[in-house]
Amino acid sequence: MSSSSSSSLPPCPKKMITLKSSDGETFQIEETAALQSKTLENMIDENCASTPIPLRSINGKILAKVVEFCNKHAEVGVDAESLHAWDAEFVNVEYTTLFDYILAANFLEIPTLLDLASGVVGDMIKGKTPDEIRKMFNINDAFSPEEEEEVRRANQWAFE
Amino acid sequence: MANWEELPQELLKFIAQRLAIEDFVAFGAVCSSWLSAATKETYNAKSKAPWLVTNVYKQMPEICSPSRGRTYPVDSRVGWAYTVHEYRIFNPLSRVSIKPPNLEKLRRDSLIRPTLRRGQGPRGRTLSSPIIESMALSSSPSLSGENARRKVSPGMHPPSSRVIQLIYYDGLFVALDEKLLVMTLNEGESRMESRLVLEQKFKGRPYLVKCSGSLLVAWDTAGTEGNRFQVFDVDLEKGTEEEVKSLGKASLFLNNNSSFLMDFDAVSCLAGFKPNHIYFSDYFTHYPPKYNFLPDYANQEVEKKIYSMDSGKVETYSDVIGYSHVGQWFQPDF
Repeated sequence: MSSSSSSSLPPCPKKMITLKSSDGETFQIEETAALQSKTLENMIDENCASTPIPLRSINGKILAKVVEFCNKHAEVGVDAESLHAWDAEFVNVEYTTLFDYILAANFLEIPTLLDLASGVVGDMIKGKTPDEIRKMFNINDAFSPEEEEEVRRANQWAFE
Repeated sequence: MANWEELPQELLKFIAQRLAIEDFVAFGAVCSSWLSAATKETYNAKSKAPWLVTNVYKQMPEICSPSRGRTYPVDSRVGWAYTVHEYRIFNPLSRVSIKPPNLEKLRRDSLIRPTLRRGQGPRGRTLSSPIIESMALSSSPSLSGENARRKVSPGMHPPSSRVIQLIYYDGLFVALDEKLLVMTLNEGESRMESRLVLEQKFKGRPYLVKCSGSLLVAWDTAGTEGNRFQVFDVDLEKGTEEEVKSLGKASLFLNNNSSFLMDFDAVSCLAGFKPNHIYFSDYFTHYPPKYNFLPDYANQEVEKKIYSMDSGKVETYSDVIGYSHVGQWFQPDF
């Protein structure tokens, strides 16, 4: 952290950075909130955050949600219980959105969001058969009959 | 459109890691890409709920998942073998089986003398073949037991004293005998080395418990000493022991042998289990201990109970399956 660069700027309690989505939308986010993303943190540290940061793999709809998530988690004085409730509501979305959250959280390296979204996927899988999971996530490409037999034989105890 | 089968492997692994074993298996059976993420390297047994093997001694063992409320039959073609000359260690999930060395051959090669037993032969004494009393798996058990066996001399170990617990902990085989001597195997010299004698002695029975970072001795005092259980942290290097008052977020699962500790962290799939408790088999409620260290009544139906380190209370362990379990706790793994 360089203190000389910040002292040369006028005092500014809310330092903002700009993110640009794959479809060209721009979002302002406070630097303190952006620090939850290790990717953004590195860019801020390397002084690469003065111009809008292009995020080519994240569209505007998802980026808006991610910014919302970071802002909420940067808020001071939120008790754990209400944050938990807020998180639960945040990931109460369609599977496709959840999928995009996971990719965005991975790209931006936001461990709290990655944990949260993966946890929801885990909960959805819980207690389901492979068939039910395939239907739920719309997965068509399964196995060749040989692979299928091999998987079944190796894990017979679980599917009986 | 979200394409779940093409989610990067690292992310699939991240999701798979947090699943209980049944879900982990189902996850791997979804598609090729998910299967390659759900390998045994991804699965961390240490953070998952333990299971019971039940009715092992009735030829038809079952494995039972208390957190899921299900039992699974174990394929009887593989089965457990318990005849004296046909011991076998085997993983009911992966069906990998390890055959220990033939005991007769071991006896001939190592000149182990047959032991005399009272009251069995015509003159009141009889020869009996050596039997395996305890087994512990090392971190890399070999499948070719015949070649992997090694004769270990007892060292300082008095020949009349029986080993009552044997575990593999922190790269060492650790044994506890009925004189409360803790020994470790010196692999280089192929002999047992004395480490310490437990200072704390109670009626009842001691259990060696392995957990990461420390070796615990849990004493089932049979209620003769106030609290039912007393737990000590044993330092093998210094030869000291220190009482443990709380297990924090962890719980102990005690077996005749190979007891273990489970840590309840955020990712653990431990539904139905309580932290800071000791899960044990109650050998003493109906038969108070006459001697220290009762023989292993492994084949008797013994009630499973839970002891709370907080309140000192003992309750019967009953789960969603609804019957009292007899059997051994284990950590399901591949």
